[in-house]
Amino acid sequence: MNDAFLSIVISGLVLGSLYSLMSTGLSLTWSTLRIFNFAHGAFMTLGAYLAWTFLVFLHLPVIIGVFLALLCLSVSSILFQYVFISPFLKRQQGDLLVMVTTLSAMTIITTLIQATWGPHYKQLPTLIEFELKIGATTIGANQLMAIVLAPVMSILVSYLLAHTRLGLAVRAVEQNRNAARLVGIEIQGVQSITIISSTILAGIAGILLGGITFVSPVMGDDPLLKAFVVVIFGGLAKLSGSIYGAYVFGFMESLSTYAFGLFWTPIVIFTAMIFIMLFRPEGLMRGRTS
Amino acid sequence: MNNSVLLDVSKVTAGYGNIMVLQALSLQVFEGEAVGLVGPNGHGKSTLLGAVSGITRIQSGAIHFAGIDITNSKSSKIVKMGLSHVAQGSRLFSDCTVEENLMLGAYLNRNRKIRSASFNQVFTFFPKLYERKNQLAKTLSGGERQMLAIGVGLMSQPRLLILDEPTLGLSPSIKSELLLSIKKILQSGASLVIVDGDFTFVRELTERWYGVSLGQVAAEGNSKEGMDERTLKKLFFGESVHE
Repeated sequence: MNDAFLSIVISGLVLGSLYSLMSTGLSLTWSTLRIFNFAHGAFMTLGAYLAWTFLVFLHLPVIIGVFLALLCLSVSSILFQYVFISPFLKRQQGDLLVMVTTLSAMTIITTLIQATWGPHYKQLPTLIEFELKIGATTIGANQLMAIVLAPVMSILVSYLLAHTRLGLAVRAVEQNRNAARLVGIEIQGVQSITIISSTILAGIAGILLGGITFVSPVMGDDPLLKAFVVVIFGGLAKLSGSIYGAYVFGFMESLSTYAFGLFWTPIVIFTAMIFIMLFRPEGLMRGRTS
Repeated sequence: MNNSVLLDVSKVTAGYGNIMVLQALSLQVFEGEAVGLVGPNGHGKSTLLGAVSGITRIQSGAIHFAGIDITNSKSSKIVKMGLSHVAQGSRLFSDCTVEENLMLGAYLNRNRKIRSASFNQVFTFFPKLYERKNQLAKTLSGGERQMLAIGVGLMSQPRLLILDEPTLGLSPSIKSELLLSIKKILQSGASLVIVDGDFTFVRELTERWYGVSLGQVAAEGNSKEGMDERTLKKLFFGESVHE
């Protein structure tokens, strides 16, 4: 029983960490651009494939490989902004258009990934050689890294938002775009920085997940869906809400997997989610900008 | 008074989509001068201010600030040159503190010394803001919000301050408090363009006024001579058929 409890906790923490990495990015882009970025999951996948290319295919050292993967990912996220988002956001009902363009971007990126790397599953190496044994439960290095890294990233993002000039600018754009422009903030620049940061977070999630399970062209779909739910559940556009929401969701999933099995888990957690939303329609935390 | 033109709006046509609100409008503001804009709602005053500060795109015509062409320039460039636009309505960052709002007003100014001088100046004009420094903007009263909005506008040390409807929704006593503060700001040497529905308020502050109607300057005059009733009636209700 103790072992079972431990593995539920660990798997809940790992899932929560992955969801929090994903939903932090979604929440950031939602608050500064007012868009739901459907391509967010595809960028997670792309991050994993880029890391595979640098680490496994080219045998580069871990730090350099991961750095290069995240760098390429950042560049592609800027391309993504200028091709799929910025030209449409200015138009009438731009937010709806962008919903469609990010959906198209998701399909295009996923297809290009499959064309480039093929449909077969790949596996990323564990980033560091390490294993933690507690009783009969083994925690792998990537799982441990996810558990540690996600809160660190969350704290880092929260700190940057609260205490830096750039963070203040991001919050200004989030709260009042016109007023932000009038004090001289370059809105598009702030949006670029938001997109890059959220894509990097998604890439990290992809690299960690790719070492825990497999790398496949559709690996980002499920985390994207869950992160969407987490962001809304946590209180739209409130970062702390997304982070709490991610862990609540992760633990619910891991508990339900233990109790009802993998097959029934989606039904169980999504039903639970609907019930929670019935009683707290504003989400766990009331959103700043909802 | 220095006679050089600070803001020169020349035959500007601008609007939203296919609807042009401004129809070849021209006006000038001189260095050190305070100018009022009056006229009925929806006739282009705020659109004009938006065109000047880079929010609204101009279809034709030109705008010069301190001799430099700023037609369709980015707002950030215009702010940097010393033009500060305090827009109408919700112009604050309501989930930021008073201090953070002011900090954002000085966003383009990375020099700490100048920034702290701006803080001091704003707190001298509006001592209440100092008391409320750490409060969230959304918890302020209407008058305090207005003061903060103007304070944010002053943080960039503007040569020209543009105020759009600063007295909207304020009680008479707060209005007169605000009047005194804006007078102090003017004494510090800044130029001013003010749009307001309260003519007395505008007259008290300005030297000249323009009447904007149907996207054009329909009347203008000297504020000290007052605005005569007939001109104003014509401005707001159009030409009478019996005249």
